[in-house]
Amino acid sequence: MKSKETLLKELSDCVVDMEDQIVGQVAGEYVEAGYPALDGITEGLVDGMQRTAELYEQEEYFIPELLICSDAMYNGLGVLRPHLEKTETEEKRKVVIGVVEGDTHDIGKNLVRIMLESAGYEMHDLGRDVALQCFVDKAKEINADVIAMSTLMSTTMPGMRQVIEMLEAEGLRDKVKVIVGGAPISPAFTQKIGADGYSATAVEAVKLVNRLLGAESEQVGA
Amino acid sequence: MVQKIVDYKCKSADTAGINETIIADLQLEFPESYKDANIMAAISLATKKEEGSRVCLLPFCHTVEAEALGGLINLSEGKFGPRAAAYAYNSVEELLHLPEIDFNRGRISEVLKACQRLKAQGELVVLEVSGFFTILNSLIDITKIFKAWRMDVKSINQIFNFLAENLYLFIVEAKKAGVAMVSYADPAGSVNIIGPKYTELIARDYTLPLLKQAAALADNSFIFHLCPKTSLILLSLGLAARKSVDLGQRINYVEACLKSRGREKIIGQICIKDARAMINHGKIMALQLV
Repeated sequence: MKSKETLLKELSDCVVDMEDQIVGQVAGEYVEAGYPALDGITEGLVDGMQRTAELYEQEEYFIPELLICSDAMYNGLGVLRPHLEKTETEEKRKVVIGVVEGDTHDIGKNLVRIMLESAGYEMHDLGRDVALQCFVDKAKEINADVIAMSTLMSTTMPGMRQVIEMLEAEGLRDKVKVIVGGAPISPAFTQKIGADGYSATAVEAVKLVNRLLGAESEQVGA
Repeated sequence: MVQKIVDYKCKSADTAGINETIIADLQLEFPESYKDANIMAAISLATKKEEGSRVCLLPFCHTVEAEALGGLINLSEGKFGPRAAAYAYNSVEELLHLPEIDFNRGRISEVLKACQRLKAQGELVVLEVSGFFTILNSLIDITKIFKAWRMDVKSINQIFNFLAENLYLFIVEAKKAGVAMVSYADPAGSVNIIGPKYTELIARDYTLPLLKQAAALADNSFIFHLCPKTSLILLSLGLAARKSVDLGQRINYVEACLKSRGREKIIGQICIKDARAMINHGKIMALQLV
């Protein structure tokens, strides 16, 4: 039987090496050996995703690689999650994410979702071309900590401000942090519309949310 | 060793949809306005006047080709323009059975008719044609393409060659419809999105052969234009060379492109949507494919 450390390393490597077909078998072997699922997630799969993020930051990996690595992570999670102890699935900070109405470019949004999820946040992905009111409704429904909006188009940027105005009108603005991103978005625009933060990359988005929620040291696990 | 590919920072092609003033002035209703050649021609003409452009630009979105390939497109309103409603295809295997584009049916046919009508009215028409990734992005979750690329290169090759054939036929139809310039862009395939490895693969194996075919169509009445993002990719990879074309006077960029018909085959220096861009020194950059 392989040691826990060996299997954790294999899980992590499966993510980094984009082995989305093999990762399920390794995760199964890990569970059958009786090792804790939570460690398999945080020290195996999430570790792999963090190494992937580092390669992305070093421009060794790009979006295609990141997407395939995340697929491997999700495949592994599919096997490990059902084996989590109830106490291990404690409540996480919640993020509502989506591409604003009028825009369907969702690669950037998907990357942010993946990186935040692997950093331990509970993600509620509304998808692309999302009606503005849906951001507010979902945030209200789940008591979200963060709303993350993205767009690649300048014509749909004003929708971000409208969501913030809707939150203000409903008295929710102080309860939820709003972050924005996408090619035409700038720190100046972020400030102008009254959002709490802007991130140029998916990796930076995690640091931004951690900072806004005062959770730099928290690593809850996916 | 992968070469450093330069990306062009897009300033104006990230827009879509129709100006609200034009929607009000022409009393446009949707989705009808996106489906009728006469209305499309009227919108294009109104946009030309509004923007002080020299040419009529069509279509108003990047979804026409995808729709002609079975894509599910939301045409419900004008402000944001047509966009993918949902992915029509769930697997790369399904893409292997895409229907050939029928240029006599649907919105793509109306776009070509609108080109004909504008040309008949004496207008200079520029048709924007979308590239591989921009089309695929409206048809399928693009992650599935990248995954297949690692496991099943043969299928990817088949799909890209199929798209290239259909894009070429679209360009041929555009020329027949009297279009003065076809402008090719693939913003979803930018190097900052798909990375240098896939950018090089696509440029070398699919974009370059397609452009060579399209460039051969250039003559005294027709010229090919490239989005500067694609131009820079080709130049960075050594797949094209720059050639300076001296027009001898300060001139509007689009006008300069059209003036180069008969002299050059491909121009690709400034975004075609930048209608008011001026070439102060009178020289534009043509591309010669390697």
